[in-house]
Amino acid sequence: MMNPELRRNLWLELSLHRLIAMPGVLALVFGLIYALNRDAPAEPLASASAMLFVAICIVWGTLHAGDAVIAEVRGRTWDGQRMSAVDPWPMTLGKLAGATVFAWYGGILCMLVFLACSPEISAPQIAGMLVAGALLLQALALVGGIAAARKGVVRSGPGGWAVAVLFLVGGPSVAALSGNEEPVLWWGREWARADFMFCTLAVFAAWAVFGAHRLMCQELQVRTLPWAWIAFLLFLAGFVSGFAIRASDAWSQVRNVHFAGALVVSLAAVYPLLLAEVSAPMALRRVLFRLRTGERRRALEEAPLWPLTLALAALFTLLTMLVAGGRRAEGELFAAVQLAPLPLLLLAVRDAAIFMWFSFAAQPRRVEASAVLYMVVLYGLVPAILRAMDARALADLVLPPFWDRPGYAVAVAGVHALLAVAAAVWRWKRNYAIRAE
Amino acid sequence: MPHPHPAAVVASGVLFEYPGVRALDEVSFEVPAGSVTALVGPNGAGKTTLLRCLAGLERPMLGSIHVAGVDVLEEPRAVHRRVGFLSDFFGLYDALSVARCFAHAAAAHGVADADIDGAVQRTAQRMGLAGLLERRAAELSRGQRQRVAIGQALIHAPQVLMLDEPASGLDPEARHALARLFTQLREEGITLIVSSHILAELDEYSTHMLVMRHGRIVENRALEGAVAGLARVRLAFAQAVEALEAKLAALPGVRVLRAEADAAVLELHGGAEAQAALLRALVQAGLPLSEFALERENLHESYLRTVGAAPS
Repeated sequence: MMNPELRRNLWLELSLHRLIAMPGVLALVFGLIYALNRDAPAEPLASASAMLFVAICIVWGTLHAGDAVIAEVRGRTWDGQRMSAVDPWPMTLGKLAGATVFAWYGGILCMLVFLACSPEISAPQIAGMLVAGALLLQALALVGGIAAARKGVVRSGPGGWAVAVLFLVGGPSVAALSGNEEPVLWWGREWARADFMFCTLAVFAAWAVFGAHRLMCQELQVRTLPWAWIAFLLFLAGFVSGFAIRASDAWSQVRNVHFAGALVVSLAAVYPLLLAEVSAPMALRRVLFRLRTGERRRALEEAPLWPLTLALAALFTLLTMLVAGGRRAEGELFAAVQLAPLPLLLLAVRDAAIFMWFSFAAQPRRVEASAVLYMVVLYGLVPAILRAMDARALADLVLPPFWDRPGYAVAVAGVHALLAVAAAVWRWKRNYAIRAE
Repeated sequence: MPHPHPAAVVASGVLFEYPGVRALDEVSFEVPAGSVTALVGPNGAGKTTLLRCLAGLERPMLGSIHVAGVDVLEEPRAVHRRVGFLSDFFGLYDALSVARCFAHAAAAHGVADADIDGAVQRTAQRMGLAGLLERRAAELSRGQRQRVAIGQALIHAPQVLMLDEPASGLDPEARHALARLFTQLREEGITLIVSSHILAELDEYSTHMLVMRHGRIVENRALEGAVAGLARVRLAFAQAVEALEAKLAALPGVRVLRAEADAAVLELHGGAEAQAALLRALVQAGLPLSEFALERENLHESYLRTVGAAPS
């Protein structure tokens, strides 16, 4: 039995007209390039086909993947899909492959031209990277689309964000790859740069597809525990830490770097979760109701991920500080983190509390935008202005000096966290606390 | 009296909240299998939220819901196979033909590939859309789109069908056709829960009434005439009858609901035969009977009476 969601998309995306038009238009474009470069057409054709792949498959396909769920919410067909008997995997894969099938149709044609014309020996590796990159961005866009739909967003956008990420993060990486033949040092071993890039993109694409599936599980009311998220954070910590580990490192040093990497990753993950999750206040009330009735497993299933991630960050803060034991580590990443794990954690707690403060309003509006504005003010504007006015002591009260005076930073960040948490708790009690009735 | 049918829906202590609003306040009720329940109440009473919780689209914070014998909170996907749901603001895949809309709905609800064509044809016939199968959904009228949406919710032969404001925006003819369809579905044994503001329309086919207000169930009962063998009979006499109430009360199987000098309303147990026997007894008793009519309580009146009696 064919995946119903994929079949529906095939009906919508692959009309006879479109099936003929895509190769027709591409043939005209490549024909024009050939006509303009008759003497040496191979390289221009290869460049054009790669650029067209980026435009069709990566940009256009990603926009379609990002809109796959949101368009259904907007068209009021999503409830029908959620009521269907289609399981999360077929729904995820049907959406990912189905929404982008026409883009892939054009992209594969471009890739065939690229492979046929490129004079580069590494053309298959470049093709592999482009394909893996496209899959990664499309899957990320689908993740963004599902997350946005869960928050009630009905306008298009997550796909555009994914494309922005491509140009801001992926672009420089690809440029570095093409201009640098040096191997990558990761987990103490040297890896051929192109192979490393391809494997990285492919593995993260697989994680992104898995992430889309886990979000789809939630959307389709399939019960899931948050182990996949923890597994991803630990994987990411391992990946990041790998760059700071040398072959000569002792086991204890590898462990320490890994703890520090996990701390950095889990702290960094708190912020996108606060922005993306349907977190407060009803979700928190729901969890508290579950706990009150003794449904602990269900409470864990329905809990937002940011508190769990913050708890994980606290654990790795503790581990990092314990194993550091006052020693200065050799790895740069670890050395930096060793100085200031606790104030970093406390500031993350403060920032989460600021998010919650806005969320716990009686009629919460523009929570994310307001909280982000406050972050910009607290981390950027006010310290910058105070430093510009030579009021360094005051600036240190707003943005604690993690690197210079860790003890002082802990005290300042602790006061920040305490005040923010107290304010959030006060607002929660006023508007949302569960009272005996 | 035990209910003749097992419950198709059992909700217990269901609580659901939006920021600042308790949409469902520990709601408990049962819906008998094979019934058509009119879910009524003012705007904001919680009807739509309740339907979405029953359909497994929203997860309540507390409570339990069983639909067609399946725990909605534990196995929502299993419930989706047994339930059809039509939202008040539904959408269709406008670029698809009606046939493909139905075929997708059937496949998505687990109908086997070999059975899909048959299901599409049957549903199109039932919904009066057989002549429009190749028409794109975008080209259909409001009433036709409504029928496609209901057909999609029905195509997998659900045991329970929930519809939120299914007649809104329909012309009187389409509404009448919808009422006929619901009556037919009920006769086929499907349990229906229909939320609507148009009480006159619900009156045509509903057997039960579930009244909500401020997130609570104000009343849940069978409508008179829906309980097997129970009928209300209105009598009128050509002239005043002395001790009319006592004379009527003496008749077998009769309960006097209201009696005046020349008119009365009785509740009668038994079907058509009991009604014939009553008529015979009245004539034999020499009462100057001028009118004998079955009376069914109007849903609108019943609703207003219920709401009027409920604390605000």
